Amino acid sequence: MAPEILRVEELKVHFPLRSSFLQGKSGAVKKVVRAVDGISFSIGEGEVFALVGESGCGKTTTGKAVLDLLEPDCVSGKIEFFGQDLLRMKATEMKQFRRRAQMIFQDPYQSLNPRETVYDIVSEPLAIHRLAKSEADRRERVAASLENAGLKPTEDYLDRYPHELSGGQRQRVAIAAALILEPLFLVADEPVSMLDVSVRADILKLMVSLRDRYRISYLFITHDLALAWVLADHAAIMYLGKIVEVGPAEAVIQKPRHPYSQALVEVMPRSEPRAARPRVILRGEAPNPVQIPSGCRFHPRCPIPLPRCKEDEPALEELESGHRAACWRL
Amino acid sequence: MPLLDVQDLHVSFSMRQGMVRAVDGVSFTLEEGESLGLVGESGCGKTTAALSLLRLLPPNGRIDSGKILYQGRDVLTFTAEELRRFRWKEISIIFQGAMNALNPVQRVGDQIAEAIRLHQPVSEKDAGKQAQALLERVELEGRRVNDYPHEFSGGQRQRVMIAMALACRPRIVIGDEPTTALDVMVQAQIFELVESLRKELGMAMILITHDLSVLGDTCDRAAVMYAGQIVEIGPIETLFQTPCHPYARCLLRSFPRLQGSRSMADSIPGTPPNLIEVPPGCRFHPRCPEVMAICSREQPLLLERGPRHSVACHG
Ligand SMILES: Nc1ncnc2c1ncn2[C@@H]1O[C@H](COP(=O)(O)OP(=O)(O)O)[C@@H](O)[C@H]1O
Ligand SMILES: Nc1ncnc2c1ncn2[C@@H]1O[C@H](COP(=O)(O)OP(=O)(O)O)[C@@H](O)[C@H]1O
Ligand SMILES: [Mg+2]
Ligand SMILES: [Mg+2]
Repeated sequence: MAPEILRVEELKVHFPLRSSFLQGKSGAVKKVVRAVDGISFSIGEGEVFALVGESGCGKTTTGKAVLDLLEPDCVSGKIEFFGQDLLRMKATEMKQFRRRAQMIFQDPYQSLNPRETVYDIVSEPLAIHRLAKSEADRRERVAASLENAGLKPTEDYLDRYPHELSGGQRQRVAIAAALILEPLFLVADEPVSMLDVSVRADILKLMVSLRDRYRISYLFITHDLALAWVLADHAAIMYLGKIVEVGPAEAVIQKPRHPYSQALVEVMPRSEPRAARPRVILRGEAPNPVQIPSGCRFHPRCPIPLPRCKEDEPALEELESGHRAACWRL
Repeated sequence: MPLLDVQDLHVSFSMRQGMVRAVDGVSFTLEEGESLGLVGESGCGKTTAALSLLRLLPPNGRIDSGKILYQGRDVLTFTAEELRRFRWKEISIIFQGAMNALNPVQRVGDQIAEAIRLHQPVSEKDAGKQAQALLERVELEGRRVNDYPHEFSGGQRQRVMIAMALACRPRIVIGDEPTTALDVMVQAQIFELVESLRKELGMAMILITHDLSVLGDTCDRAAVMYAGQIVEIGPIETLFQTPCHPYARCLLRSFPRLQGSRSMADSIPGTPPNLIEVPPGCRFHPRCPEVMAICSREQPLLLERGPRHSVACHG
């Protein structure tokens, strides 16, 4: 087992619900959005850990929480980066952490400042962390980073603005900006979902090659199980703020045990005519994390609920080595 | 006679840099009640082809030549009044990104009712009732006619858009990437809904997507487009099992599959050509892994290879 770089225990992110008139009237009732509601996982060095689930289940919030990008008041639990408690780090340690842990966002159209050139964008983290020894050093590092991100020859890109780049090139610029600080951990939040098919594979391959070359670990956030399948060592399936199944990607994706994971696998497009497979599709959508159902939070949509699922919340139980799921049926 | 028979359609946009030949000699037919998928990378002309069928091109777009025969009559010769009756009543479209097309400050029921009254001489009250029934048809609660768009989730808003597209009971519905921004689960629900409605109402459908694999759930046939042209068209089984055109094969491979190996497929090298200056010969030849000498000289014709299966490739 690779040494652990990130360890998350009982992470909760509860956002206060603004403009709740209930709150105004009684003053006592405080409603919260339980976006992440007690999750634990760990990521080893050089490992890709996929967090998979429908939109709104808390993936992005988890990603931001582990990078300390949220209001501290909302976050509880324990997040350890190389054994150090993130929520109690000193300023100097925090600075190191900010350098070593970076995020790549879903939408390269929004995450890049349209008025800055590629050079400005990629060199900015160096300025923030005062890392360049000289202008020449800065240029060199920017060029190296662009090259690492597959933008060659680099001179062709330095003076361009985001609108002069394709979607795939923009995502590469975002990756170059994240790489320039030589990170050890990247949160990649749906990094290819806005990109055209033909460039997706290139970006994913780039991520894998960076992992192989620099032992970078990834928290890879996706709603697409097929991407998790080709990329991840471990995978967790999230539903309404909780991890319902976690383990080696092979087990979780090819032999899912939780009914929700099974449903997710079931609806994946398969390149076969419809007659080839009858299938079950879950009804409705996940409820709002302000009103989380009692007991197992999946029970209202579960195709095979038991009476006790309404009352008791199941915990993650080990099924076989490292493969765990939270379901009373197991 | 097919319900829709598109013959050698050419559509271009005029731009400062020149003419963009967005659709360049596209032909296909659609039978009553049939479902045809139209698939290809973004920019290959799918939306343009769809908009042309309804003659809804933006001002700088023009249908240069070709025929669009609907029940034997050429849509390109329709008068303004005939077009008005044709759109939505005969053929309707669920737009790409339609989820943001709803008016945020108007109740959803009123928006549907308005669409109905635009095309049918019914009273406001009857239109309201129809709107409610339509919402129920797309598996939303009828009382939600009183809700505003922001009170619906993305998937529910797309259901509302489907309700609108069905309002006049058209013979053909076009879905332009109707689920692109949605989760797999919601996508599966929407496709299932569309399928059951299509069967029940006997509609034909043209489904536009960039992901060939999703067509398996909904389509009888599929056409693969590249740079403004159809390179392969045939039964969906054939396209999945024995695609002939190298581009169709590349496209199918570029989506990772749960069934497949864990290694990532190679992406298609290079980028699609800009449609102002297309390469000579086969448009795919600069990116084709199986390119031959003839490919850069002669444009391959779309020729029949089997029953209802045609391919444009020299190989
Ligand atoms: N700053 C915030 N304030 C209140 N609610 C939030 C905030 N950020 C996210 N949420 C809510 O938390 C839930 C989880 O959101 P998110 O983490 O973005 O999900 P995902 O990335 O899985 O789609 C959603 O219901 C979302 O509306
Ligand atoms: N209004 C327009 N003016 C100029 N070019 C356009 C316009 N709309 C589309 N195009 C161009 O036409 C081609 C086909 O576009 P489109 O039909 O939208 O493709 P798709 O739907 O397959 O992504 C592209 O090259 C696109 O840039
Ligand atoms: Mg998200
Ligand atoms: Mg389009």
